[in-house]
Amino acid sequence: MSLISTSKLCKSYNGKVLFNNLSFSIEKGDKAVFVGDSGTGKTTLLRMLLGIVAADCGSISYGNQELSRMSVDKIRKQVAYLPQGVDLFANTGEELLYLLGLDFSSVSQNMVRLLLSESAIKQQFAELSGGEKQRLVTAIVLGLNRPIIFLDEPTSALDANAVNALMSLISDNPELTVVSTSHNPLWVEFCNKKITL
Amino acid sequence: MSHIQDISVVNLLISFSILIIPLAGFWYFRVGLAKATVIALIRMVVQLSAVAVYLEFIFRLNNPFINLAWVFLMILVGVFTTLKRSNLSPRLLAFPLIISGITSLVVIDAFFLGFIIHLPYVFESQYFIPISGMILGNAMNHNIVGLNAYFDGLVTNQNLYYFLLINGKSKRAALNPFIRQAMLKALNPMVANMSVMGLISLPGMMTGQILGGNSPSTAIRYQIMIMVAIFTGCSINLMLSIIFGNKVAFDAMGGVKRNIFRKEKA
Repeated sequence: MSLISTSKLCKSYNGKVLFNNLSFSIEKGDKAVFVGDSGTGKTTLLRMLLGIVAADCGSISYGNQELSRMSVDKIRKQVAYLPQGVDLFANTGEELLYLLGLDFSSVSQNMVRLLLSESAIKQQFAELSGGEKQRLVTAIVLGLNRPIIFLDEPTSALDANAVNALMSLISDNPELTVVSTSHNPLWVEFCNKKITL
Repeated sequence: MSHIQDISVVNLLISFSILIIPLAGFWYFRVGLAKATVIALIRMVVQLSAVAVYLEFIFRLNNPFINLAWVFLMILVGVFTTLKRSNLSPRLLAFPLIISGITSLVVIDAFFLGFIIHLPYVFESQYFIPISGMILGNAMNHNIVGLNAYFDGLVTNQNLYYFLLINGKSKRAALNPFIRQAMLKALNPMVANMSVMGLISLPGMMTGQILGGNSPSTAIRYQIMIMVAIFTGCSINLMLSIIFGNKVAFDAMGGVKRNIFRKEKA
């Protein structure tokens, strides 16, 4: 049985059909990426899988459990999520840790692997570069240690070194299932499952 | 204390002549506020004159049912004004806000009128209506700021909300940063106002009581009590409005309903 599967999903936005009859499955340990031009619904699809956006038709399942108002809380306990626009979150990484109820020890190793100094956790987001912010929030999200991780454009502000560091960190955990969106050829190449919209 | 010196209608009308100074200033600096000022003044005169007539009537009757009905009407006007000014949906939020208004007022009136002032008759119109009105008027102003900050924050910064919700926090915990922000925005000005009261602001109730012939010490005791009542009433009302509003503002998946605003936000 697939870890995540969709059946005949469809979604329109402002009269424009984003996708229709979209069916795919993601297995445990897959590194999946949604690819397509801007405005084709990659982020919308990711949000549909998380229960943030409702589908116009079709269904989404986690194992044998359909994503519904009954199951959404249970399913969300198994996932972690890195949205776009990470700079809107909080003033510092430390504040974000507090909001999520995480200890620094659970993210410090990830920070080092993502080429960040540990002191970045105390720095104001406004003082960090776009790439540093993205790596910091990614390190925190990975620190949640969930079996499924949703990454919305995780490399949008990263240079090639940082992208390689992120791929290396994720590769170390073959059990981890990644569902992502990206325009980055390096990241797309890294993922073993490509779902084109 | 001497009795208050009454103002004749003629003298009151003459008092309007001093408005020529700000109006001339508006004209000179091309502020474009003259028309709005004149309209606001006319509205104020008409509304307050009408209030004078029916308050005289209500005070004379001093009937608990009429007093309660009057206060309930004030709650309704306050709620719908709050929703209109915050651009929030009356269909979704009117009922929770009415319940919040009633609850906060019951707590405050019971405590201050029944327990602190120790009125033998809590619905005494002379106390019940003006004190309830002061609390509701202030609560409305602070609810407009607080609810607007809360729901606007949830929509414009929904990334943070979903980030917390999906990354394992309960809905209540994911909403906490937004509730904190709303409470701060709404109540901070009142805290600042209280801290300078008597130094750079002389509150209206105290001034009114002194002009009405009461001793300054009685007036000040009333003023302190009413400030505590207003602050507590506004805080309770805003907290309850958010708590009760949350019951209707989210869909089954935990997302903010898009129709929470009168005009949907993008």
